[in-house]
Amino acid sequence: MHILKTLRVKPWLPAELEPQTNLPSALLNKEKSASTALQFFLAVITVVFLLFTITFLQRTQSFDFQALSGEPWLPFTNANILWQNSAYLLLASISIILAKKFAEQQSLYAIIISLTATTLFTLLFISGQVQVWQQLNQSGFYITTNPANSYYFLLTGVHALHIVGGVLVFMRCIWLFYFNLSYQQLASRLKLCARYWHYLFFIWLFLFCLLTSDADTFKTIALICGF
Amino acid sequence: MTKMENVAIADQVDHSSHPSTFMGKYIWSQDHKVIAIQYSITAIAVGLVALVLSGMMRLQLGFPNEFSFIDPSSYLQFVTMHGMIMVIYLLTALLLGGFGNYLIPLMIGARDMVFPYLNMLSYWTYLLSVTVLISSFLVSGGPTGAGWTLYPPQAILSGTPGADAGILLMLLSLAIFIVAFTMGGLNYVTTILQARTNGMTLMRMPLTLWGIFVATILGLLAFPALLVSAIMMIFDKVIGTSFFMPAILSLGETLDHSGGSPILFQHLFWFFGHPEVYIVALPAFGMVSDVISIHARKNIFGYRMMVWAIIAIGGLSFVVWAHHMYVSGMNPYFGFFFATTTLIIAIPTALKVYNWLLTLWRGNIHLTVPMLFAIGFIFTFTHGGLTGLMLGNVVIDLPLSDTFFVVAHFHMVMGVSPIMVLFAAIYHWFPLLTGRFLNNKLGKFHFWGTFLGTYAIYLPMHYLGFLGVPRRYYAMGDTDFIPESAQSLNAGITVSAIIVGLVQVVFIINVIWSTFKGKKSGRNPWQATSLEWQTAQFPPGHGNWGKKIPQVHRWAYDYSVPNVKDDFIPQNVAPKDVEYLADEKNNNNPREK
Amino acid sequence: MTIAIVIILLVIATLLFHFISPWWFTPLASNWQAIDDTINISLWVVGTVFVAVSLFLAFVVFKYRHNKDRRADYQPENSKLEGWLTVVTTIGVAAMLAPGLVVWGEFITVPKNSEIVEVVGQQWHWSYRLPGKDGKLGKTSIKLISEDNPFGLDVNDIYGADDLLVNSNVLHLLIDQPVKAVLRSKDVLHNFAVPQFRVKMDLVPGAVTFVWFTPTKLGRYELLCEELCGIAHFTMRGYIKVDSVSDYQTWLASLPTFTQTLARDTANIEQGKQHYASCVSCHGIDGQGNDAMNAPKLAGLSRWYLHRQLSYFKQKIRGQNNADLYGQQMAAMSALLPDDKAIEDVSAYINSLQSIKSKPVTTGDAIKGKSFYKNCAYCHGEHAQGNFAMNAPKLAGQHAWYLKRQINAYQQGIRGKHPADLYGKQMILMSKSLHDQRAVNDVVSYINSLPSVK
Repeated sequence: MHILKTLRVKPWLPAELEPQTNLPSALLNKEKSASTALQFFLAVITVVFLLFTITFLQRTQSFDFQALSGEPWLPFTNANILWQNSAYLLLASISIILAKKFAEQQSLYAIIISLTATTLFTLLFISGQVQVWQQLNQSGFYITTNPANSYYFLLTGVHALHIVGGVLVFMRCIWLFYFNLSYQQLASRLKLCARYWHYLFFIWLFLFCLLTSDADTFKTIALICGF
Repeated sequence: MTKMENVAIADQVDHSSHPSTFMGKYIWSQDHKVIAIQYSITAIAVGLVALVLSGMMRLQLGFPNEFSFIDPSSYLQFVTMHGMIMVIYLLTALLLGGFGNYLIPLMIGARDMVFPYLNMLSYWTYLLSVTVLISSFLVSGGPTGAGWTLYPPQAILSGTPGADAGILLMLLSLAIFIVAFTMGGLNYVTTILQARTNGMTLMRMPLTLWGIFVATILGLLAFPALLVSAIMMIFDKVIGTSFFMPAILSLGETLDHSGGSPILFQHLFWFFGHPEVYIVALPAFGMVSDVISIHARKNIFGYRMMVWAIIAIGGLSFVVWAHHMYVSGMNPYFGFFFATTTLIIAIPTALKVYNWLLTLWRGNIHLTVPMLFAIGFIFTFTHGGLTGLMLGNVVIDLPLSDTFFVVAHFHMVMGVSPIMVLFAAIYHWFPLLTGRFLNNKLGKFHFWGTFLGTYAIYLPMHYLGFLGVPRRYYAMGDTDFIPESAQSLNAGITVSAIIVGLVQVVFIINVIWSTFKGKKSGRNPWQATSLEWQTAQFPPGHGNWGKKIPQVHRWAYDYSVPNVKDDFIPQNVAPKDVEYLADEKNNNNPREK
Repeated sequence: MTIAIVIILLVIATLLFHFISPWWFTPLASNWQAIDDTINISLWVVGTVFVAVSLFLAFVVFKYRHNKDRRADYQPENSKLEGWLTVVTTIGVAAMLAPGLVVWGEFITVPKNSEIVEVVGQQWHWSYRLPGKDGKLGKTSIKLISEDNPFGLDVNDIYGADDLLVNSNVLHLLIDQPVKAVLRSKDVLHNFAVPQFRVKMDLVPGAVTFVWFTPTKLGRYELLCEELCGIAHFTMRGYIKVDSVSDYQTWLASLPTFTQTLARDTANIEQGKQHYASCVSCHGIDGQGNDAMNAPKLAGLSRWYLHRQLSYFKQKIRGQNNADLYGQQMAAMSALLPDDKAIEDVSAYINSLQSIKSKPVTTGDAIKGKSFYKNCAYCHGEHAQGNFAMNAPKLAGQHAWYLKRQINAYQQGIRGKHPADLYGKQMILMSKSLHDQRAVNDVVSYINSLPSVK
């Protein structure tokens, strides 16, 4: 328990080991800082989705809640299109790692191809999500008709917004690379982007499972959570 | 978070490329010191608006129906805006955006925040949120009058003033504020974790930084709850979903909602709201610890306990939220749990009070203006904390909740106390900003007016609560159980409140006058040990440290170390450079016991 | 130096204020002595700590004030002392918490022999429902609420048929009988609070909450809403009257069951017309009113409002104040209506009369009046058309002189002060937000300028 040890130090006593004096390189430190900040940011996002989830689970037990899958006429009993979207996001996550690898190897064409692939798959994911919204609307599952619908639109919407935010940062990164970023800098930025993409991919998988569960599953979860 | 050992930062010289234009220096500045001042000025300006609003509320309460510009709608709007501005746009922004920004890099020996651009963005986003908030005064229907807790359903139904544009602007402004805070907050924690100078271990940091650090983490994890509830309420209002809205009437008309839970909102709100109390309190705890230690010329007593207490309070603050909801109709069995956690949190808080007292004990107390405010803080905080202990004790809350007792309690603990610290901090660090002292005479006048005045407001207010006078009432009218003398008490409170408000004008004048004409302070006027006073250039310039960032050799509390010549040893003085008293020169390190 | 003395003085002042101040809890009127005891215990604990800490602070500041020749001690920590302080604090906190938890346990355990009464909150009124002979409350739904069924009871639920409805803000309770108040809200959050009973609880729309207590003292207690519920939150008052057995039985007997309220519409317009003959001389054949006779316009007013006001006049609730000359006349005239049936008939007749628009009389500034009127519009409606759900009569089309006189009467407590005037007190409170006669003129001009829509 490193933290506990740190917190038990008596700072008024002379340090047993005078702290090291060699400073890490500026670049390394910057990367480390960005990584720390990203960790905290992911924690913030986790709390957002966690709280949404808790309110959602509580709401699944209200009398007017109609789960979106289970019966044949419900939209996500057959969730093929969502699987397809998941695949896009997975491919985007994979291609962004490849881009980082290629950046380390400094092969420009491979970088360009993999970055394009990432952008493409991410946009496909978002347009796929929009398509699902349209389908829901067309088949009469409006946002206000049922709390399950409200939550579907709300949660996928918030998730999509996070992806869009990621895309903006990603674009800026490409933009900077175009002008003056070194391969090494690009790689370290892409590493963080990749982490963000993976994280959002897992959030998406979680939401996918959550939103397409049927009424019985919710009942079990609610029972376990004690709602 | 895993690697908490001392990590040094590169000496980023490229940062000291100085901006030369006025715009670059003061408007689009990425220098943490300028951003801090921008944050502070904005926060204080909007805080003055809230102060005026509270004055108007007091006029109505003290002299009902005497002032024609206050009707029941505007009264509720004043209540709401006063509360929201004070808690979020003033206290949170000033303590973290202002003091956090100014002090973090200086105290840890960094040249700036690790993400200066993000820092600048954070300020401008904050300014945008303030603008959106203030703009709600101008829209038709005015700002929302839903109370600062914004409880649905009433917050978005037509029986409440500002239920159309007002509430939406409020929620929008909060969402923008949260974005601003997240940008700033990520910066603060990362800077503290990654940019500390050589030798600055976490346990060598001044308590100010510990307070700001833990408060920022609380903010990062708690504000999402407010964001979530704001988004869901906007959906309910604009799109017509039923997250918080059950089947319901509004002024006799049936609405199209069903199944939502208003209590759910309260849980979300207070899951944010209670940590928010500590987001304000912890930086204040930290800063007051440093002020007390420096002006009593004594090390902080029980530094480790103080750090542990800050962490414990921060952790516990996430499991006490429902003590705001004892009479909300939630599952009554929750009462047992939340009463217990609430009273447990009193223990680390009490330890902090003891340690402040024990720091003063056998100290050498200079009764400077910052010290006066710090002593005032200990007094008001003890008072407010103890009444909180009563309210937290679930059954006592039954008669007292929603009465003026609650109002008096949280103003004492969350209004007066942090503001005492803010003033202590402003008087203490003003020389660092300007190289000049604030005027001492005006400062003392300001202290006595504020300290005695606020006590005259809030002590009697508790007794209105005992009587059973409810809060958020525009007028009490004639009632059987409230004697008429209560009205004269209310009038007295109002007079005190007006006086306190006017005394703040003296403070503003003092700040403006002293910035240009104040007595020159010279370098490190309080003879403090912490790094912010040890910069090469004084007041610190762009890049903070000149050519070389400092090397830290000790904790921040080496005051009155026995056998040492001076009564303080700055953190960056190497052991070999410490001057000992002549006759005991041959002693080894005197601190080894 | 000064600060040490001031702190000591503040402690003394605080103690003096505490012991001398006349402002303290109202005398207890329920079984919750335990709450008062817990408060007293806690006050002693926190009071002692407050005095001790403050005096110690003053002492330390005085004793260790700056002295050039002395140096402060250097003492990083003292684990033993801190340990002891932790233990002592924990014990103190536990001592406070324990009685609190015990009493909370009592608070959430409703005694078996308690009677159920439902308290219904809405913006900004109270009403109540008793379960009737079967001891069970019938089902309700927000969707069923209407002018005929303000409680939203389900007609098909047999338990609801004999429920006793109290369409008034006064609830009677039997002394020494434990009560479980079941709380329900039609619109927003409210809070059921009676300071003398000590306990309170929120009313939450979409949920049913409860609170229990035993009233132990005869008397009339004010019921307050203590959860912000909108613009007129401060006017949302009711009364709890604690009765002896015989008074309580009389009151119970006067309450209609749900079935009775449904069957009530038996008004006979023809008979109402005959009764109205004695009103014509002042109020006019078309109910248009007559300023020379100081008679307001009646045509266009809704039945429930006419019925309520006529009953008030007849039961000596309105028109009893000596300053209310014309009210007294009306109170005398109302004696001509022999019973409640007659009042119902005549109300129905007047309601059937065609409303003729009265001449607008402008003495004030209607534009300014509009901004005052926004506070009235919540209940009386944007077009001053009145709103049954808010118990607010129609104002549009009424003569300006009459409106002005009534506002003034409310402001001066001439009208609405009688304890049985259910909603008059609200108007007293609200009317006072018009600060001077000019504001009254302005708002009346604005109301006068509104088209009279039904």
